[in-house]
Amino acid sequence: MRVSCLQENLAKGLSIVGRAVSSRSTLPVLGNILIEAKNNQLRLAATNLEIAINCWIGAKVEEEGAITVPARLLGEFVNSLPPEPIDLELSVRTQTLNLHCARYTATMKGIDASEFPIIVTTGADNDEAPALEGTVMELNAAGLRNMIDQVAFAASTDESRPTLTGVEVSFKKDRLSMAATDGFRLSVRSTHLGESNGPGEDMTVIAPARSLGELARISADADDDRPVQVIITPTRNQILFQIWGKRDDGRGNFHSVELVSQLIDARFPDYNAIIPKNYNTRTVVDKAEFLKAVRVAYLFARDNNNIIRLSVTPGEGDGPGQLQLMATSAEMGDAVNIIDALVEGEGMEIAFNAKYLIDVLSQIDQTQVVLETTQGTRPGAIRPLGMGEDEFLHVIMPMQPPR
Amino acid sequence: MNATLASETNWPVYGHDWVVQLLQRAIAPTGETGSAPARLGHAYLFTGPQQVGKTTLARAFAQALLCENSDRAPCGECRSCRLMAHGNHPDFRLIQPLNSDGEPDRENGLLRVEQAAGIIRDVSTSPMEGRYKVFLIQDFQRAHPHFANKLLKTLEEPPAQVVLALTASDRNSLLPTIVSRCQVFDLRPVDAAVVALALRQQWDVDAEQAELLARLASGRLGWAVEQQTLPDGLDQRTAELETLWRLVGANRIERMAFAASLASNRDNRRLFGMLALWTTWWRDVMLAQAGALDACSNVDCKSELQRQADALSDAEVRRYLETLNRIEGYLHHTVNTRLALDVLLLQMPSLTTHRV
Amino acid sequence: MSQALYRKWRSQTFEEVIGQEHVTQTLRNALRDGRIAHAYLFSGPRGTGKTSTARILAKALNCTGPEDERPCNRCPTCVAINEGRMLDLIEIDAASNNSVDDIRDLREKVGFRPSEGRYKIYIIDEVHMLSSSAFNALLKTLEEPPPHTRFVLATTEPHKIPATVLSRCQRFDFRRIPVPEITAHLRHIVEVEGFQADDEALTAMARSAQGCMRDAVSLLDQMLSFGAERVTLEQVHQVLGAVSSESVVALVDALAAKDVTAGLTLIQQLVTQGASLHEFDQQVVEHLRGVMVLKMTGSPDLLQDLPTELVARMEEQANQLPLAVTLHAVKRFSEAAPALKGGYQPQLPLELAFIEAIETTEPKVVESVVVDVHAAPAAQTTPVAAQAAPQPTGQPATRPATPQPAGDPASTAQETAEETPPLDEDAIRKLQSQWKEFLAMIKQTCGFRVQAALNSVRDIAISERSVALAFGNNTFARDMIAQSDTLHQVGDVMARFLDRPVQIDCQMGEKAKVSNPIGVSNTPVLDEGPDPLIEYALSDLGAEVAS
Repeated sequence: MRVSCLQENLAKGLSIVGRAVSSRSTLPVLGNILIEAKNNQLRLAATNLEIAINCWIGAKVEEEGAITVPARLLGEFVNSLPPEPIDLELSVRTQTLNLHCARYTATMKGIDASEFPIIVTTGADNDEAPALEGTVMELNAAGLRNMIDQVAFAASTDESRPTLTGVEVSFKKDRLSMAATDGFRLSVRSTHLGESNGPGEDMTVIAPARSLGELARISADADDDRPVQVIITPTRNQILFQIWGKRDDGRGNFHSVELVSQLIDARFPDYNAIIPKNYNTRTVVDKAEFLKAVRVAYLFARDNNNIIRLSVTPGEGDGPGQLQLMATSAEMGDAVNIIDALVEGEGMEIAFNAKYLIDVLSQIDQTQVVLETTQGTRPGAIRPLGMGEDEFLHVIMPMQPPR
Repeated sequence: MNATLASETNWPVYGHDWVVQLLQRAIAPTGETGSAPARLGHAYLFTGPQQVGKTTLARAFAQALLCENSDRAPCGECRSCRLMAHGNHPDFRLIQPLNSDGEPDRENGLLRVEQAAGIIRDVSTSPMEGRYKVFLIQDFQRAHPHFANKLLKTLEEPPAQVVLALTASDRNSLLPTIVSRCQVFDLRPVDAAVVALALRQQWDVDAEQAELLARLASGRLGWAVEQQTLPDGLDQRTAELETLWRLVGANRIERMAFAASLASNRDNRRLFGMLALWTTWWRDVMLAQAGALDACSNVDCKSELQRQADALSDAEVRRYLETLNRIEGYLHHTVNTRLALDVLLLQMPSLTTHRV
Repeated sequence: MSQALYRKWRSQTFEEVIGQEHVTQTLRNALRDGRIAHAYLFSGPRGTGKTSTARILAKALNCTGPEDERPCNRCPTCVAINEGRMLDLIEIDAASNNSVDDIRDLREKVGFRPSEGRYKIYIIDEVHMLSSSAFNALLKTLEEPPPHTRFVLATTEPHKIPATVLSRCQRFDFRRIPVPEITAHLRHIVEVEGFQADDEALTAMARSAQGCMRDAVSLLDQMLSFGAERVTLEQVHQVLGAVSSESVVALVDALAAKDVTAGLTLIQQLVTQGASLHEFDQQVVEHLRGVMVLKMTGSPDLLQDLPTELVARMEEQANQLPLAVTLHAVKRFSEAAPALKGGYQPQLPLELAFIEAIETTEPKVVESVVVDVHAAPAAQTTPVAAQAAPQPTGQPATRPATPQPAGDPASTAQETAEETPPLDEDAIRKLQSQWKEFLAMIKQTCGFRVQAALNSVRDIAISERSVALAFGNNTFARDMIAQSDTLHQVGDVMARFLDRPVQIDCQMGEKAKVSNPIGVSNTPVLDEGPDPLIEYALSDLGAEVAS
């Protein structure tokens, strides 16, 4: 292998794949990054066996080849180099990688590339390997990022119920839905895929919430004009997202990134049973005001299992109704905050966990939100006003107010 | 590891044929090659004495499960087998006891609760390259109770593609709730003839030495292999035996001096190696006293064994064997090395001839 | 991969829970009457159905099927629980989530209403593992349980549950499942799964499970996974490492015939054949127990579940083996079990047990070096004295402290002492007045540690031939000096010191005793208390009197 590339591009690529390097693994090769020169591109790859990231950057390949070298050493070394071209050369006999940039030279001991786990790719940049077979669909990059942000936070962090640490991703007809729940709240987000972009068959998988979070991070650097390609392997054990880098040839860019995540092999809870089918009270409030009032009440709720009580009062005549938020701390006092509300239906009282309200309201971009409730002991639904009916729904279980 | 193996199973394992055969049947496909096995269990526990071959067997089992070419025995040639051999298989996990710095330490480390959390998270996702994810958890007797308890649910109902293999010194040292979730294979000492054969075939040991090592190994192939890889394994034994004989005839001052020198720069490897040797020796003396010299381990020292057997009291020898066992326990767990070694040396049967 | 049998056959309804009718019937009545307690405590050995019953209760409480069929195992809730994905059933392992933070988290979550079902159900396994502060936190929840929440606490060690928690739970004790019920269940599984198995094989499996259904079904699974057409007793024995009862009989025969070589050869053979020594040891103990029962009761009535041929052999052996020997053998083989953990010489504990069991078949008169003034004369010549329980330390010794086996050098010394001049009053006076000088000589010859041990001597008495040393309650010091090796050396030094041949007798207690005392001695010689190092060895190293 003999190849040269720009320091900034290599540094960028390494920072992206570095997120998937295992810090502590019993497999020596997982502490390494795979470097492969082919088709005038340099492929960097790392995996912690849950997530694998492939990143392609532009390069001038004089001789193709591949090697794995210690991730941390390579990353720190490349970051220290001046922004100039770097020459990389592999000595096949000794399995060492020689790096040369300006007046810096280094040699790193590697591990044979064939020891590295096989990471599936779309094969889009690879003439020789056949393109990955599986169910393919295309998504808008910014939209995907937004969906992940609005769903993944509701996943459980309790590892003893692994299924709930995942996000259910399902394709039905031409709709993509994501859902996550920790048993006390549920976030569901759905979008229209368009005629030609859907997978052509219905399917449901569970992806670790962490993997999707990583995807959202990487896609912040993506070219939002080019769609993200999503592939689910035929055995339904992996999901692959292909993201394109910005098209201008600026420095510090990548060509494309493919994130492959292992899937959680389980059945997701049937969350439709949790979604309220109707409501007795529909309360519309300004999102920013609501969020602020919850945050203030939370100051007093912290000592009391985060419980805040919401009291909805319909307006009299043509006047506006109101939403009252109350929190009590036995030791420190209490707070009552009132905001205006458009109330449809009867008045009611319900108690929620303040943290959960803050979590969901922080992820809503729209200026108004709707709270739908039936009674104080049944789940409440929150949705942004102005999005399609089925686009975004958040359900929160009420708390038992202390007697 | 492609030499001809003793058993007909073609697993890279010597001895334990009955286990290998049973495991082979468990992983055999129901129908054509590649179809799912009918009765593969999800958790296996391999118990047995140190170095008897538990990990070797569990690894071979994992390799056979993950092998791309064969339904029963690992082919040793495919990518999967190669990765297993190099310790880089992405669908195989080795979980070992860790010391407080997070480094593997099979002697004094523990399987810790954070490791259990990692396993629970890891089992939930699908394998990377193969059909299964295999977790080998070594030395389960060193599991912290929190580790064991946290793993109960996983051991009971892991996802379909997960196979857990545990090794432990004996089932009684584990939580019963762990054992009852596993299929248990209690590995027994390997027949001396098989150990000798393995040493000759696999490690090129000459016949005479192989025979001696096999006798000394008490069925633990791993021990025999270790001895022959040490540069001066058998020479060291000879030296240790000579020391022992000297001590048997030594007065208490010399014995105390020896205890002092052992204690002053304690070297666990040597110390426990020596205890093992002493145990073997005194057991041989006991066998000789009981008229069963032919069953002895130190086959090359029969005349000395008989001499000591004749000169010493039976009861004293037996009592000393118990002392050895007790002191070994102390040395593993506590405290004052010097005192323990004093007792060890003071109670050794004596061949001093003078009488009051 | 197929699902493990014990998962597949996990009881799904109250009717299917085996051997716990006293629990399931009460729960069904409570469900029928709508009198379900807020918290239950299920206690009992592992694998007896605690978690299964808790899950069945959870299903019954949330089941949407017809009321008299609950749990129906068909409605969405039942199905979700059976598939482990019901959000309102929360199983917590208290062993690894036992901190206050964990329980605080629980308390926070307990406030949530159930999301799909009528009740939120918490199953807290191994609840005895909670820390005391976690118990306190849990107690608060149990005191004011939210109306929609039910708790099932499960434990194998109910005595570790605080009374305050116990009093808030309705308690059910699960019992070990009897062998016939396990056997019947195994038979049922075998038939439904389409396999064949011998009755003896199923009984052997049930027996080895010791009342734990999961163990039994797990073992059956293992047997079936081997793909044989029929599960036989031989296969079960192979997997359990059990050996045929003939081998056990043969070992006990060797014991009765005092044939050491035969016994050791047999053990060696078992090792080579790959028997589990632990299992074998237990079989031997069980067999000896049978022999013991026959000897004590004289009738085989208590051994009805054993094959008659075996009982016949036991009867023969009972005629050959004295009761004392049988009892001692049971004791020795039982003691060997925990030692059979695979040390350097795996079979060694078994060999030792066997040889020592044989030793007792030759009851020996304890050869007393000195005659005890207090004990009845007959006591010294009966074997019973040798088997008497050791005196608690600190008590005056009522028997010779160093019973020496026959042939021991000390006894030889006694014989040779016949022709030498006896000790006299001068000797005792010299010892008393010049004890420190004597100790100095000891230190010079034998070193500090022997001197330190002799520091513990509280009293000295002499007879014509021997010097008795009383070590108070310091068994370690006594033992150290009584080592034949040390005894010779100390005797040597004392002989030089007194210019007479001396026989030393090491005793426990505050007063040294000899049969025909010479001179009067009641001066405590030295009272500097026991050497702390030796005490340390005694307490921490577990040094003890070998008697």
